Amino acid sequence: MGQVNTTQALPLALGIEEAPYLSEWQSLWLRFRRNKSARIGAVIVILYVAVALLVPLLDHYNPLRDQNLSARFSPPSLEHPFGADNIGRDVMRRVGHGASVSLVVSLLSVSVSVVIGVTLGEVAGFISGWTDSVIMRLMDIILAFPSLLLAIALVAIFGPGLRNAMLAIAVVNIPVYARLARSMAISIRNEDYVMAAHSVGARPRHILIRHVLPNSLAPLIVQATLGLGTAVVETAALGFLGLGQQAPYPELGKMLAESQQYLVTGAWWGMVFPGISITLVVLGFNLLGDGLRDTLDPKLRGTD
Amino acid sequence: MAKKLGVLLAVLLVMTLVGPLQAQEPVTFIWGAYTNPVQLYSAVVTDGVSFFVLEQGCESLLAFDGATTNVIPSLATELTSNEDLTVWTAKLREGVTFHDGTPFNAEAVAFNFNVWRSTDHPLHFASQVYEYYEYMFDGFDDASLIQSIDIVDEYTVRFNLSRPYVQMPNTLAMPMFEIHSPAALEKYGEDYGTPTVGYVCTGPYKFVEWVTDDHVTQDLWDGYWGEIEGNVERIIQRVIPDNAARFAALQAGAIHGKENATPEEIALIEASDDLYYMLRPSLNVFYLAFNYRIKEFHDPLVRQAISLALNRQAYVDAFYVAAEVANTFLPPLMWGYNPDVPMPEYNPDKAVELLAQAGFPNGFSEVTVLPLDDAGNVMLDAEGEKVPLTLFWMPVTRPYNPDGEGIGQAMAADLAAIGINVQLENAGDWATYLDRRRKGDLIGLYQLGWTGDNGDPDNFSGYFFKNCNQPQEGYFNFPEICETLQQAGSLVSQADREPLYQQADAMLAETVGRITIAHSQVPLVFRSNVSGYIANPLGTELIRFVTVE
Repeated sequence: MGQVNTTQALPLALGIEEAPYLSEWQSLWLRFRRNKSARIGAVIVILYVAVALLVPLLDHYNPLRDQNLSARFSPPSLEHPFGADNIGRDVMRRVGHGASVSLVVSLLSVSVSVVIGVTLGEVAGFISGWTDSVIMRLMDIILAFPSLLLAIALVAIFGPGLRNAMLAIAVVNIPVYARLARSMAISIRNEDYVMAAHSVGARPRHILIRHVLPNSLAPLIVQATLGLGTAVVETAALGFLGLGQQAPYPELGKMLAESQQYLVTGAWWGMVFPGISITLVVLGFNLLGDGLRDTLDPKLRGTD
Repeated sequence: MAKKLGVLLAVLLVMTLVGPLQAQEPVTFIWGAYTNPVQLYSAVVTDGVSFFVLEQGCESLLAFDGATTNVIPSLATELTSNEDLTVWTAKLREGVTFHDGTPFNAEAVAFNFNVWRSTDHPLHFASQVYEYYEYMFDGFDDASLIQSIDIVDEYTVRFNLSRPYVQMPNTLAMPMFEIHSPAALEKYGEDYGTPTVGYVCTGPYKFVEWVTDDHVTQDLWDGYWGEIEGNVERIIQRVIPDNAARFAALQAGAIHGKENATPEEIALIEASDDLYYMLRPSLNVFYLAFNYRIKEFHDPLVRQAISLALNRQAYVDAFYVAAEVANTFLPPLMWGYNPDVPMPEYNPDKAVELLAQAGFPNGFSEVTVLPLDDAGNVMLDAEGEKVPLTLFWMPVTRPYNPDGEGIGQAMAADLAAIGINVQLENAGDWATYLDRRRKGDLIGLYQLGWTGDNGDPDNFSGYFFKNCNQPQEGYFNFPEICETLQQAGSLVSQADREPLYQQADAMLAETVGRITIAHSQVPLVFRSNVSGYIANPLGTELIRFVTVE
């Protein structure tokens, strides 16, 4: 991994014939646009974010009052485009509201793990010594548990619910960012510009924030994007197990669990639509993450 | 050539004669079970699969009659008590032997009860749980309701009890108290009832073999004292764990009958000429309980409003194969049922009015939890603590509640429609749920139900409401109802007791002390060549009445 140092402009015209000079961002954007999977991922993610933001604004939904037992298991129709579930609720509405729940949960949990993980990792990598050992052994302990199992254990301890599920997902993902940030910090620590900063008397905190952190951002952004997809799946998994979002509030994984027992009776719509939604969202984040990696990785620069 | 032909003909002739003889299988009834029996020893099991086998081979002192919970003679011909219900004397049937040829008599009965009762009896194994003895008879040893058993003569036993016990006849008819051969119990010790040993009792079908995960076979016993009304000579209980596979086996004719079916399977059964189903009469109730640590629930108007808000008929139509809305706690089948109690009304408009009268014109979503005093009673005058109102739904499927979460959400929506916003809570697994209920810790509204064990209303309404202010009943405190049920439990004759149970249910419905939702029935499915099966509300069903064509 090299550095994308925002404090200095690099000649980035490599491989781009007709552009003698492009700014850092322009060049990134160009590479991003050329990447097909990134484009598809971006479209899916933008659509998803649009749905997740607009549905709660446009459709005032009170799940507490949503029930129509006479419409139980109505198949997809004009009135219920995605059909109705076991207590006669419109599946499309619930998928829409479930999608915004997933977005909120994944954004918040990833933010928490990024902030904590990156701080711990950068400090460990930059300071090294026993601080590094203590922090990274702690991370190893967390990593020793399969992430979903640890999340289940945490939720079991603190009680089921969306907030606890979110915190559990955040906690289990901290080591991922901590390890990444640490490896970045270690490689940057000995770079000339860091040495230079040291030699002119910059304080370690200043160096960490102004030099090390900005230069480790690229892989962290990629990882966080991929992490959003993982968080969506983990939220759904906890919801499916009854440990995340609680009834009657909509959540994609919970909708799968509620409708799976009725699948044998032919009511496929209760599972299929939330299932497709989860798949699409995760696919979108993964494609976008891959695309971003290709874009941001200097080793791949100039190649398509 | 002619000789050879003659031999061939002779061989063919013999084959045609002998063939049918060899192929003459006993008339067999095959029942599909979802799992293995736990153990074929009635005193230490509680599961329906074990009891399906045991009921065909073993007998209690008394029995339940056909499709009812009426108690009729079985191994005992007569059971009488003294005035205050503390001494019960059983006259035993004469000339009955166990499958191993040993005689059935007073000694055998006393032996069985002593094994169950005394934890220091050499055959009372610590590894086995005598759950129903403990539950129906208060406990073991000195704590046991049965203080001692006297052998009066060869065919008379006397039970000396520590307190009046009106349920005694019904309890002695329960399959958990079937009499097993003392000789066999001694011979096999802890292995009694395991696949290699099986059971040794007095019933019409004796144990043949038990192949784990495959089947249990029982054959008709020629030494049975009673009559065999049907024609079944062999019973096979086959293990088919998967629900769909079990239904497919029934459709294919590989089994003759099974318990339970989904509403969708019922539709297929109704369309089929080869299958039919019957409903096991309901001896259960599904209810929504108030926890009276919540101050608002002490206002009858609030309770009434909640009751009026719930669309019980819609729940029954949507979630159950067969059920009826419950007007009372006791199911209609149970004596003591009060048909005059009006069916609960669904009227959200009236509910809103009542809430307004009670001082909640906009409904509520927070309630006041009252503290407990040192004696564990709810302190009605205390300030209390505001918490969100919670509705706890059952985390498991039970005959009386097919979908706790679904019904819970439907209830929450109905309540929201009158302005009462509840939080639905999954209190954890079933053990946790029951434990929290026992400690009075389900603070809010909570779902639960009951299936009668022995057909006596003391084991139904009495179990819940005989004592007021119990944490496990959500601090239910209606002294009039509690006293009525206590009185009903202290009388002997059914004629005296019946009006008291009716009165208690009428009072409960009047005050809406607890919200009764439904009584449900479990379907039993059969091939159309099976007849004579009698569905019993307690599940004590006998194949000796069944005919297979």
